[in-house]
Amino acid sequence: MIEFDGVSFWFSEDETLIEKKDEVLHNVELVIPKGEFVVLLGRNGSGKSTLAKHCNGLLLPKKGTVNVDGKKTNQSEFLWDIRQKVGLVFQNPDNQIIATTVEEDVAFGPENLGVPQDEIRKRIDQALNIVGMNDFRKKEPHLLSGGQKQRVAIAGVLAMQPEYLVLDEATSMLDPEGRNEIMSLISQLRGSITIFHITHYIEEAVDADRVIIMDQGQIVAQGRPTDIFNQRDQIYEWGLELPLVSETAWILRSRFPELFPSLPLQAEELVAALCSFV
Amino acid sequence: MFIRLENVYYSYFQNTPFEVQALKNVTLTIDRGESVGIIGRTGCGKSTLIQHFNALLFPAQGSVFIDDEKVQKKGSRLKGIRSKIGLVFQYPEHQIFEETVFDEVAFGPRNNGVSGESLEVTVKWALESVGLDYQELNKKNPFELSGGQMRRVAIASILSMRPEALILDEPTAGLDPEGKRLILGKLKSLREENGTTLILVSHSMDDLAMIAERIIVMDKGTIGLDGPVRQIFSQGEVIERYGIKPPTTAQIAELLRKKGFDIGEGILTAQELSEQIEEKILNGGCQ
Repeated sequence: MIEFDGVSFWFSEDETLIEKKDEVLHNVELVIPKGEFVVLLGRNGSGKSTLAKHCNGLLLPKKGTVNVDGKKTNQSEFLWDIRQKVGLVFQNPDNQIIATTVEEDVAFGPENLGVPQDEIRKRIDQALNIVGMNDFRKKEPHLLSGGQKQRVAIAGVLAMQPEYLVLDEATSMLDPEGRNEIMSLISQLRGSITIFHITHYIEEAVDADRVIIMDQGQIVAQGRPTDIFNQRDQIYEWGLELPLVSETAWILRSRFPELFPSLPLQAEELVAALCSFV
Repeated sequence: MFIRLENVYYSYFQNTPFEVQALKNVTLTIDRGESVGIIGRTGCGKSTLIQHFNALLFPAQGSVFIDDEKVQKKGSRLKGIRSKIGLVFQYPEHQIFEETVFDEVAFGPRNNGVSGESLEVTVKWALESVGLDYQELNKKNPFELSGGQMRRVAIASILSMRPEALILDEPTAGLDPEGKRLILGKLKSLREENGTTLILVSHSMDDLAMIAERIIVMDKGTIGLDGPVRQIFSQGEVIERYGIKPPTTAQIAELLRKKGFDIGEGILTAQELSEQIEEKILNGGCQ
């Protein structure tokens, strides 16, 4: 479990906050339970990426603590352990790949952890199999598509056998196929590893175990997707939008009030509700 | 005819072992006032194509005409072409460099010799066209703005050249839904009020469903499909071959059709979809 306990953060070196507006995270209380698929939404500048970077101690709280399975990120003796446990994948696939072949790139993490050679081989095989990139292991990363590069980046994290996978807008620079590749990889990994996915694509949240919404450095809502997306007015106030399925249902509900007691999130739900209504 | 490409070929690393053919025999015409979405997989040639539209790249073979005048590396009035056809790159806010919003937006027209009151009028117009308040922002440092605001300042700094066409490469990438709605809304009204031609490269079919009237699908350096937006997006199986899924609304419509709802083809927005569903409910729809 990753626990945020009263976490505040600002970017200046000063230990005390000078101006309230400089605060990027404000008193964040958050628990990411093990095994869940959690999606974080929020407008630009709401603090999502800053929060993500706190999960494995890339950034340290100015106030409060972040605990990963009971270990505090601000105690430097735990940091190595925590970074192995919590893997981060960022937005731009071109900034994350360092080696000249796919398999060397995946090996980079475990090599640095001091994993023995034959174990590294096993892990590369496993990780590349999971992300479906085994056929590309000898390829040069720059020849891959965006989605393939992100899958290699995820394989590199998986090879460190983390318990938490944090995806910081990992789908935002990809074409639709690349996004699909990553979303189906998420559903495949789901359950075996905790996934914390940050995105601007509302559709990527409808299937989550839990949706968290940030605004102005604070967690303003969290819950099951259906509970979150049934608060239409707030959703727009937070700079977000409803999934198009739910938006369509909402328009229809104004005409047929008894049609959707709860707004559907997936096309199949919408269609089923319409079929039983007519 | 506004922009015309005739049998255009273009290669990167030409005459080296690394040569990559990015455009192959591309012929197309874009008229004034059109709103065109260009889609296709990463690496299919979209960005190479749009850079031919304002003479940032020149064809290896074939020709480009702007207003019937052939674009040539030497001898054509490239500056004029680039003022007439503005190109907004991906993540344009990364290219912001001036210290105030005013100077950033004024940079282009200043270089074209605009000054004094008419410069101010132009900057004000450009900022207001993207929904930013001139009084509030013109003296601000652009780097202190939010992501969505910076993106709009960057677009305004192209608009201030008063281009007749605006080409935007992924204008909503990385923006939150509110920022996205704002930009698309402003681009729409820019076209309605000034007749500005819009050419948008995008990976978001839902965005294009809101703003484009014509869709060009690029595939491995050639034009795969080219047609009215409703026609292109109603061919689910065909466009899937190009790595594209129809907009969400079109997908819902397709599901409903399979369940026996007689929903028409070419649905684009949630509003259109709900109107059609309403009509079917009133006439008893599911079989």
